[in-house]
Amino acid sequence: MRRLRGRREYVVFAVLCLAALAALNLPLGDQAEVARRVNRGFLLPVLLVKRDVEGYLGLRDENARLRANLESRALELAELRWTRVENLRLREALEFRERVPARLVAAEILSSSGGRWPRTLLIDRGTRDGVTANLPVVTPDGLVGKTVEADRDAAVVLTVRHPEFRASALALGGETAETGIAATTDAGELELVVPLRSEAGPGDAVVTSGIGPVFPRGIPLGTIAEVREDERLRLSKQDRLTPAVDLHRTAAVFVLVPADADALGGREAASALFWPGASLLPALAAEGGRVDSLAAADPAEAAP
Amino acid sequence: MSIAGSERLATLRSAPDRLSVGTRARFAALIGVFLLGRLVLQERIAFGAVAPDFYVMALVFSAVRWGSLWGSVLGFVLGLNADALEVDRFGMHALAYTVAGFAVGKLKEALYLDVPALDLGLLAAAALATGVITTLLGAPDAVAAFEERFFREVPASALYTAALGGLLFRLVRE
Repeated sequence: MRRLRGRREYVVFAVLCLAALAALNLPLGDQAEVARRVNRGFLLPVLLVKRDVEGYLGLRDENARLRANLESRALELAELRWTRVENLRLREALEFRERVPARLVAAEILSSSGGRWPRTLLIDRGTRDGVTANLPVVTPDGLVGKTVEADRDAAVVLTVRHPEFRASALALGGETAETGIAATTDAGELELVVPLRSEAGPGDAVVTSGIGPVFPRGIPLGTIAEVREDERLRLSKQDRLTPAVDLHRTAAVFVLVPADADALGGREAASALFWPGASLLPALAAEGGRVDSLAAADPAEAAP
Repeated sequence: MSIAGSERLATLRSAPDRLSVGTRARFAALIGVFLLGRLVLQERIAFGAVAPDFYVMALVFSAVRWGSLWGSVLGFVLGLNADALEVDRFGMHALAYTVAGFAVGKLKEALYLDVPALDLGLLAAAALATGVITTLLGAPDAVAAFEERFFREVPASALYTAALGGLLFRLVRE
């Protein structure tokens, strides 16, 4: 015991290292929960005060507000385009699916996991603003990620750069829009796994397909930078994507929150919400002369 | 062993539990300033991904004065704070700062010198060590980005931390 007391610093050091390693090995949900507790106790109040002081002092806040305003207008414009496209579609097809308009909750990024490609973000909107877990987070450029944890005043966003990120996606190239899975590899690259037959090539746009519980259809994910075959099994292609959103330069984001949560009626957000930017789909396709391929872009048809 | 110029034998201060209330309050205030620096200033004075690490400054400042035990404890607490800010890989900063705090305390005890240049060196080494550990643990980045971070941003940030920290330490001393 006396020897241990003489080595107290080593014992404490070893215990702290073990505790840190144990925290490192917690599942993401538990890590977010622990972080939320630490945040609530100390960091979040300081960060919110910092935001308010900066807002009071002016320039940065003013800049962010104007930027958010501009982006909000861009989204409204996209929404108008979407309405036009939607009307045309409804005339052509009698099938009408009730949709719940999304409310765009503008949020400022309080902190990020740093580096060029942050994997998580802490935003200044929480349950008080209707932000809950599993809601899409976007900018006018495209998809940022999804919320994974929400507190009263803040939420944690898992970005497209996180190794646990997955989204069903459509590659708008070739004769048809090809459905695949967008995921981030352990090497930190966003890639799209599509069948070997896929004709999508470099430069083709990739958007969310609307299949799955979180992301509505049509949110830009990125563009194909490089087409690669699965070298091991040769059963699929793993196209490397250039993400649509430069997370490093993003200061504000929007959370797609159902305007009327009751209207969802138990449905998943992706099947009920619509992304205004989906109106860009025809434009993107028209640019490449692939309007026909959009017919297959409907999730109902694209579903395997 | 002769010690030239301004070099003198270090007088490693007592652990905080043996300090007077006033001294403890001053230390706490100083640590608070470093924490606020991390939360409020760090982003603003960063050059891209090259930024000074105020937590490392607080850590080295404490470890140099209080020794390896308190260096590692403060490192763990500061690391948890840094982890809570980033969520991803929770525990990564706690581990890095704990190791750095312990190592700085031990080095200071072993070298037993109280010269500004040593503090600067310890600051740079601690910032480099924490940067390397967090880069290695946060490895799932593309190779190009990893190289950029490992070979450029981490060393540059360490130098930035040492320069700014050295300035702040000097202000505190005076």
